[in-house]
Amino acid sequence: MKLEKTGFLSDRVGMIWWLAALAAYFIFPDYRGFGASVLVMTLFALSFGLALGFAGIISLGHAMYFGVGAYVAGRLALAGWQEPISGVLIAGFVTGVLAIGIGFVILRLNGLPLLMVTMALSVIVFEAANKATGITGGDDGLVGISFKPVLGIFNWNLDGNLQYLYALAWLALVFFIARRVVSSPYGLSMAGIRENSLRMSLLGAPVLRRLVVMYSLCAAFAGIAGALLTQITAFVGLQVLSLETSVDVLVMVVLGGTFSIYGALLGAPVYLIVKYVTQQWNPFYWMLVIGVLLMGVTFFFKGGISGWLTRIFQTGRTE
Amino acid sequence: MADPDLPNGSDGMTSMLALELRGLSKTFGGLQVTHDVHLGLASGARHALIGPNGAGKSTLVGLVSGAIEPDSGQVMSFGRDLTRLSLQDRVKMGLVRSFQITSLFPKLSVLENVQLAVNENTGVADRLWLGMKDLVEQRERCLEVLAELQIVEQSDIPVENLSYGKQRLVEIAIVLALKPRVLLLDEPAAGIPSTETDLLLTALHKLPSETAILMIEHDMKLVREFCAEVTVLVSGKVLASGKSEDVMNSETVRDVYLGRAGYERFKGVKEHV
Repeated sequence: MKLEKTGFLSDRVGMIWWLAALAAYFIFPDYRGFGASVLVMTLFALSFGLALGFAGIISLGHAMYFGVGAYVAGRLALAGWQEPISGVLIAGFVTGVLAIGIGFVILRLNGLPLLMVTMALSVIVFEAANKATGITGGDDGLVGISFKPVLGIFNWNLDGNLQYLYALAWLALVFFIARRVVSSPYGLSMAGIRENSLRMSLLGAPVLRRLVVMYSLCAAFAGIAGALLTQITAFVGLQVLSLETSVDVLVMVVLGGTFSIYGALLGAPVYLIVKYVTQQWNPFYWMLVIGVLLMGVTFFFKGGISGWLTRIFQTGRTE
Repeated sequence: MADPDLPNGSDGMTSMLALELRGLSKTFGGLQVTHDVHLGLASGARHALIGPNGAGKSTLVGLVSGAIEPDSGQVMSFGRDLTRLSLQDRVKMGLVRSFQITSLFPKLSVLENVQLAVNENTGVADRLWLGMKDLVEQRERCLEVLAELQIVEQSDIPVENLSYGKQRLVEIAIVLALKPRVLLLDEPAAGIPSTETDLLLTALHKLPSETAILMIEHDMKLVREFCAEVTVLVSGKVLASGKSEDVMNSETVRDVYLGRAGYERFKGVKEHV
């Protein structure tokens, strides 16, 4: 099973997934706020899944882009730029450009060295943000943020209705773009780089440049997710930049499966919902449940949840 | 060193040779692995590079392909100096190499392997917003190459599931897809069971006749059947270069490299043919 051939899985699970996301809006009206944050994290996981599963860029610093996107959206709003959609786009653009600069330096590495460097970078950025209270609000975060109605029509309320649908719409848009890119010639060349980057360069491919473009795109998506978090919660805290957030997103993607673009879409909600439910049940033992779940999936579901689903849907078809 | 034996038809028009090496030298530490190598291949040349192990054949391929930088000397192609160009730029100039150890994209299908090469060659590999369906011309080219090498039926199989001989064919398909003007074949027959060498030989004969080919090969049978010219490399120096017949019959070459058995094999095959 390869990423660019989501094939059977995409046709069915894809449709089911989007229907379920819509249905959840109606079935759980009291959880729309939580649902919106799940959708935002799903978008963030999607951005990370693209980098990891698709381009083979392993990183423990993806929260850096998520966080920068969140702060950009927050600062924009505080500066008076309260139009939400353009706010998200600007945040995505800023993080994308930032990633081009960083990517050209760090993507010369891969594997563990890359993991270490991205982790170090994100810890530095976190500490810098912690100290730069003038920009980030430090420990207190950015508060008192408000946004204009979406498209000038839909008002932000505490019930989470708009938040949920707004996040879902962004997720759908980004997913559509990601899906296109994955199945483009560019996407195939990414698979080639992942499989054998030396040979790709001997086909005449500018490998570093291709990776940087992909990395930048993923960072822009992460920035979009960050900006959305700011808009749906009207708050930015340092947590968005933390190493824990990077680890969380890694866990979500691994849980969902790194070999499919659907991995993030499955992994993030499962992780967050299980976490939420177990925290309600027992605030001390939720890590245990998550740990067992993760081990179970890793041991028994090759390719994560998406890999497992693929096999279910593919029974009777040749691999 | 005297002028290299230029392939027929070049008439000293060295500037238009498909591949010309001018005094290439390379030293690793204190060891001189390439020593003032001159070599010229016209378009359509079929040239074998032979020599004992450690003669510096692979280093020479590295120097020509751009993986290794020479200490001195030049690599020219059709009048252009490629010496300072990167690997990628040389590929774009039509200078392509194949690998001694098959170097493919194991999890991708045969078609995708070839498609990667075709996409690079036709400049669509950077397009983020094209679907595979939009690549009609590229797909046709892929199928054409696969048909030529008779591996169309395997096009959807991941290459890691193919036999080694078939994998070598995919390697050649990739190389073909890049439309090389100069082709470096690094031991194309290495590791192929003898039952599959014929497949390979047929494939090699399908390579475009105008492509200049420099082939490193130990198999004298393949050299005899495929190459009109031979250069013998010993200790990084050109020992002899010229028409296969002349070179193989030379006393020095027999003494230094072929030995009696090798010569017998060469002759035997010749008589057999």
